[in-house]
Order: sequence, then C-alpha cells, then structure tokens
Amino acid sequence: MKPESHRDIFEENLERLLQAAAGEQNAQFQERLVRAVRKEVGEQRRAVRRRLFLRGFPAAVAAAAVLALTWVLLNPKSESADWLQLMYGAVEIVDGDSSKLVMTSEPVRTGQSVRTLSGSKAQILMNDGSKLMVMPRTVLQITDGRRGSTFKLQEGTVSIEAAKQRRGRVLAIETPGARIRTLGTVFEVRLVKRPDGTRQTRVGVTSGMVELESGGDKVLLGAQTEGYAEEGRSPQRHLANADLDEMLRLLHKNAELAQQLGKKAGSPYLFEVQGAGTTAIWTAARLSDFRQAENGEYSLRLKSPASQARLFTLDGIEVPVRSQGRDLQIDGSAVSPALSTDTRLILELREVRGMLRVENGEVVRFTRPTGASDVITLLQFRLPGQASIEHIAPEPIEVNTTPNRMTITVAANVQGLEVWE
Amino acid sequence: MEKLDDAPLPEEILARQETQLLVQEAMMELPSRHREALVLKYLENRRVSEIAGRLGQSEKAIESLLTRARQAFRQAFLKLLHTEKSE
Repeated sequence: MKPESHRDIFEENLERLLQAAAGEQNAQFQERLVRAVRKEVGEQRRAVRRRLFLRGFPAAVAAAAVLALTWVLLNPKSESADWLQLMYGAVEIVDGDSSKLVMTSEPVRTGQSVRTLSGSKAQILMNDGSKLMVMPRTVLQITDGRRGSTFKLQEGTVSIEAAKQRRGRVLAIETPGARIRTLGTVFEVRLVKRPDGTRQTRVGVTSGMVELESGGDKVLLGAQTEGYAEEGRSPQRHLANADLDEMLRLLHKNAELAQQLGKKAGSPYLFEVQGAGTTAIWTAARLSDFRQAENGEYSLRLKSPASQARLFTLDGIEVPVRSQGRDLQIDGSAVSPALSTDTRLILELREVRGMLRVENGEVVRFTRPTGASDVITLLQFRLPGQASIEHIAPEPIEVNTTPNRMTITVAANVQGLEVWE
Repeated sequence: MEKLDDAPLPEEILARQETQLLVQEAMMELPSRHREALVLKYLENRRVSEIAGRLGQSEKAIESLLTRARQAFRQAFLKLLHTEKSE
C-alpha cells in the first residue's frame, strides 16, 4: 500500500489538473472529439448491420425498419431528432426519476432534461441545424413546442446558434418569468439567482434578433444588445453602445417628465463638445422627417455639415446611411418593412460645425430657441471635466462630474432646435 | 509531469493548453461512472456521503469507485502523455 502522503499529493494534483482543464474548450480538442464520436457512431452502425445480417432478418422487415428510421430522421416533428454531444466532463440526460450519463453522444427528446455538472459542457445538435451549447452547472429541459422547439432553462447558461426556422416555426427558450423567441440568431441566455431568491433572465444577442417577453410585455433585441427580465416585470433593454443607451434613457425620461408636467415631449438632444470647435450630436428623428424620393430613397438635409452620420433604431440596429456634407440618404431597400414612417430613430452626428458657438478657442456658447411653452425637451451637454459654467438657465436637473467629463442635463421649453431643415 | 504523486505540479504546467487538453481527453476515455465520480468529488467538491446518496451506493462503494477512478485517470493520462511524446 502506498504511503498516505503519496496519495495526498496525487489527489491534490488530480484535483488541480481537473480544475485547470475545466475552463473553455479549444477548437483542436473539439475537432478530435467530433472525429472520435463519428468513428464510434460508425462502428456502432457497422455492428448493428452485422447483427441484422447474421440473424437473417427478412428483407421486407429490414426495408421497413430503414424506411421507419428514415421517416423518423427526416420528419421535423419527430421527438428524437436532436442529439446531445458531450464536450467534456460529466453530463446527464434526466428522464423523470432516472438519469443517464452521456458517454459521447445520445439522442434527446421532448420531456428529457440535460444536466451539466461543474466543469462540464455539452452541445445539443438539432435536426434543423441549430446548436445549443449547454454551459457548466446548467439544467435545460426539452419541452413540447407546437410551433417549434422550446427549451426550458431551469438553471445556468445556454448559448444558442439558431438556424433559420421554417415559416411559422420558432426556436424558443423559456426561463422562470421570461420567454425568448428567435429566427436565425446567435445569442446567450443566463439565469441568475439573486440572494433574495428572485431570478433574473439575461439575454445577450451577438447577431440577428430575438424577442424577449416577460411580465406580459415584449421587447425586440437586436445585435449587440442585452435584455434583462425579472420575474413578473417588463423586460429592460440595454444597448452595447453607451451613447445610444443614454439616448434611450433620455427619451424615456423626456416622455415621463412631459407627462408629469402635462406638456408635449420634444426630441431630446445630447451635445458633446469635440475638438476644433465641433460638436457630436445625438437626437431622435422619425422616418417621416426624411423626404422620400421617387426612387424610394429617403433623404434629410442638415442645417450644419457633419463629418459622419449614423442612424439606429431604438432596438440598436444600425440603418445604413450615406452622408455627404449636409445631405443624408437612406436606401429604400435598407428600410425594412418593420420600420414604419412613425418609427423613432436615433441620429448620431460627428464633428458638426456651428451648433455650439466657440469663442477665443475655449468659451462655448449655446443659445437655445425659446417660446414653446407646451413642449418640454431634455438637453444634455457633455463638457471637458475642467469646464466651468458661466450661466445656465433653466437650472440643470442632473449634473454628473468625473475628472474627464462634466455632464449637465436641463429640461427646457424649446422649439425649432431640429438639426435638419 | 509523469510523476503525478511526487510533488505538487507547478502552476505553469497546469496553465498550459496541452496539459488541459490531455486532462480533457483522459476524462473522455474513462468509463462514465468514473468520470462522474471524479467530477462530483474534485470539481463540485461533494462529500463522499453526498456522492453515495446521489449515485445510490454505500459510502464504502464510493470510496472504492473513487480509488478505481483515480487509477483509471492516472493510466489514461499517462498513456496519452506517452502517445503525445512519441508522435
């Protein structure tokens, strides 16, 4: 028998080796794994064929079996069409009270759950080409979806690469309190348990678009956006772009403030002082603010030239726009049918000249038009951190100072501030 | 690295991608029962009594399963290490 101390060192090394290897996989390993799985499946098939041949199955029965198998594999409604592939670690398929460890790959069907232990990962390869990566410490149940596949995330994280779905069918992920539907999308759903027992669903979209529903409300999440859903409450959307995110906040706050004061909400503005007397501006526009030409093109003429212009939907999806001096143009083909003339858009303009007046190279003046007592508009100014304010009216409703930036937001009665003609 | 029970492995070796790859492959070569026992014990840090409850076996049976699993891992790991070196 080995001395106790030897056993301890080996055990300790084993534990550290396992923990070090439990992180992310690399492509080389995945490739070798796939080859090994294919080899094993091939060998199993050959063994089955040998058995069938030796037992002398009547040809008609064999043909019927092949036909039945083909039907099962090709019929998208088949319950056993999806496969679970072990990536590494220990992964179980739970079916009611029983569970089965996955050796390399196993078929999975409606009603079963996939459970990954710590440092373990598995992949569900769906019949339609979609892939679901089941991350460590996750429980994912395959449920019966009449309009497509539905997976219930009971614990942990799942990354989805959804194939384009057939018409009328969707791939959906359900969590306690939220439902996420998709079409040809790459996204991740994470269920976070809070210390107080509540659960939050977080959805991060890499490409495509998903719909997140919770508390009876729905939001669309475009690429590079994140959605959060608390059980029983409306979903929240965050854009990966902090400026757009701030514009969303201003739009929301502007509407709220206008309602409180019994006034109309104007389009909020965000002005950032840039170098050489120029300003970056973000504001909201509607497609109806653009002029539509006969060739289907939409155009907008700015009051002052900008070096760069970008346009986004409130879902964070960029609408391709061409800019030349003061003129902006959107191709009719770039405007999706989902974009109505009333849809609000966020316009980002860089290096705009003439909006803020710069005196002696360092004093910035902004005079707002006045006279619209029934419209309330939020104006946010982003100034260098060391800036000092000579005079501002009305009093700011928000002031935020960091060493590099001073941000002041005012709520003013403004009309005629539009940056376009 | 072949002397797994002589001294603690240096962090530098643990951090290497080749080491992690070998561990993952060695785990894949193990019978699923061994793999599950090792994951529960060393990654999930479960007590033997918990593993026994989960796998529906006595604690003694789990101790012996873990011993066999550790040995199987050692063999699989060293075999892969030698294959890697001779390639």
